[in-house]
Amino acid sequence: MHDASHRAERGRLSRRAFVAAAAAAGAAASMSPSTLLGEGARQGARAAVPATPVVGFHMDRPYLDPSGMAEPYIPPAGTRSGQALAALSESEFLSRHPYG
Amino acid sequence: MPQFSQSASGFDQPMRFEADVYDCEVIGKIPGDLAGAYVRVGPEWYFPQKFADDGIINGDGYMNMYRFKDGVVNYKSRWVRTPRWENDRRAHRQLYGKYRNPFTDDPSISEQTLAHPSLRTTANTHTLAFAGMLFAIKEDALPYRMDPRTLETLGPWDFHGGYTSQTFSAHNKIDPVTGELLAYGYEATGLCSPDLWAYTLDRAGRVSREWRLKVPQVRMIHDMAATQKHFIFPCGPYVTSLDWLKAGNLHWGWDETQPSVIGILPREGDAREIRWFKGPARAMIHILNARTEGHTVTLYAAFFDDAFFPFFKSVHGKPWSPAGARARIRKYTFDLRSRRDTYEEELLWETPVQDIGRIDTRFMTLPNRYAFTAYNDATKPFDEHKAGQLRGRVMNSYCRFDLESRRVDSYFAGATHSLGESCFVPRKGSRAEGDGYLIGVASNYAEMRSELIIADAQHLGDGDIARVILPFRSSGLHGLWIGDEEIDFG
Repeated sequence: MHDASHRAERGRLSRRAFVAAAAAAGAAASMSPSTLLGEGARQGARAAVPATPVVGFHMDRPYLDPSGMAEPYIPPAGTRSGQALAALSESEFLSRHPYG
Repeated sequence: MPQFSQSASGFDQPMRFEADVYDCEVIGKIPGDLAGAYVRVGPEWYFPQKFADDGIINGDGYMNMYRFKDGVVNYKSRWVRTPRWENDRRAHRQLYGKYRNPFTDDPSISEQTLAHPSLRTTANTHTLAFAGMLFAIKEDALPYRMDPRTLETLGPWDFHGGYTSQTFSAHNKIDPVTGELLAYGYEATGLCSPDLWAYTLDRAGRVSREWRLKVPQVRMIHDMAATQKHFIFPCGPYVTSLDWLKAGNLHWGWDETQPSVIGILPREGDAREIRWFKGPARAMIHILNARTEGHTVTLYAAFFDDAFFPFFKSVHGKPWSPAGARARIRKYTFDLRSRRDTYEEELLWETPVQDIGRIDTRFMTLPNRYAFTAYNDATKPFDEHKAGQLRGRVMNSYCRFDLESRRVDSYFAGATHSLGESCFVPRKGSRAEGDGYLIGVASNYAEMRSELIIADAQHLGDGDIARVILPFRSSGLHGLWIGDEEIDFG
């Protein structure tokens, strides 16, 4: 229960694996983790880093996290305008928008 | 300080400003032969409504104009400064009660509004260009003249004193053959009066003829049709009475136990010659066109299966049903040789549409082939992440419906858009029906802005030619394309 693959399957990371993964993410665009890390860390990195980068959100700005470990940012539906209308009943909606 | 309800949020946020936008952002290229203005009028609450169950159509009149000149579009919007709007501004609150019910007004003004209900008008429904003048109209009062250069409100207009009805319908027709304006007012002599007065006005804007008619029952007559030989007045069973108003209701109630009635008056006849025909109860709000051929009158309209407006309650307490609030394109046939007081109704297209369809107005009163309107094309995508869970509730497409072959050609506005009323604009120099542009304003729910769509009316499937982008939303109910040859916009 202490190997990296089991930890990744359960969605938890040890401090050591996290450092390895973070390092891997930072270098992902230009070099592989094996260039920088020892064998143990390489195993951890391979196990913990999902294949697909995600868009994260921090300090009001989106950023691309190539490690795929950031919490993905999914904008709430219709934040600009439409969603407030979606909660209306048919009667309420047609009362306000009889013509589009 | 005005306090709008929390539900007036998102795209329904009150828009309380007047705007000028010069050199609007355009995606695509504005056709060079578009010279004039697309003018719309619609309701907007400047102050919150006095009663929560009031209808949006009681909002203050707001005129907005997309001015096309030399391939550039400028946008201008102004409130229609009716006495009502001015009184509310002075009071810093909403003084006026429910839709066309002066019994619900603030005591500080109710004596005046009960004596003169037309002073309650918001002039919020439609626009009219006639005899070189521009108007904002609502069917409960005289039309309000607007300065076409500045959209400044000039005041009510009675056509040199010749138009004596207290009311002027929001939908009138210009006869393309004679250039006359065919107009009417219902409740012409006061609140809930059974008087329907019809008029013709010559090109100079003077009344040339008046008919004083009585209706069998006081009903909504929001639109009329005309042919070269007849006026046609459709009345679904939206009914009213002084008792209904004194009970605190909005002006109209829906009486599902009553038939629809449609009046036909010969343009060359007198008031006694009107005939009233009966048929199934339908919400008859807007007309496409009509024609007279021999002894047969044919009317095309997208009438509703049942009641439409949720806020006009059943007079018998029957709950409103969205299932009945579907407008579909229908054909009505009247045999004037027959003594029967009925008509034939034929459903031309099963698909529900926006009932405010339009035609090439060069064929108004004449046989024509094409109707344009908006509808929801359920096969098209809707982006719920960007625009909210409004799938199925948006009018995402315009169609050109062929009244003869029943063929449908469609334009899709986009996965976050809903379309308002369309308007046909003839191509410069063309004479063929439908040769021109289809324009209309789309609500972009993802960006919370309005976009004026310009498409080739004969090639709707090709998408739009251009979109005029506003950086905010702009409301409007009915609109009209007005060419430079009709009005001097400066």
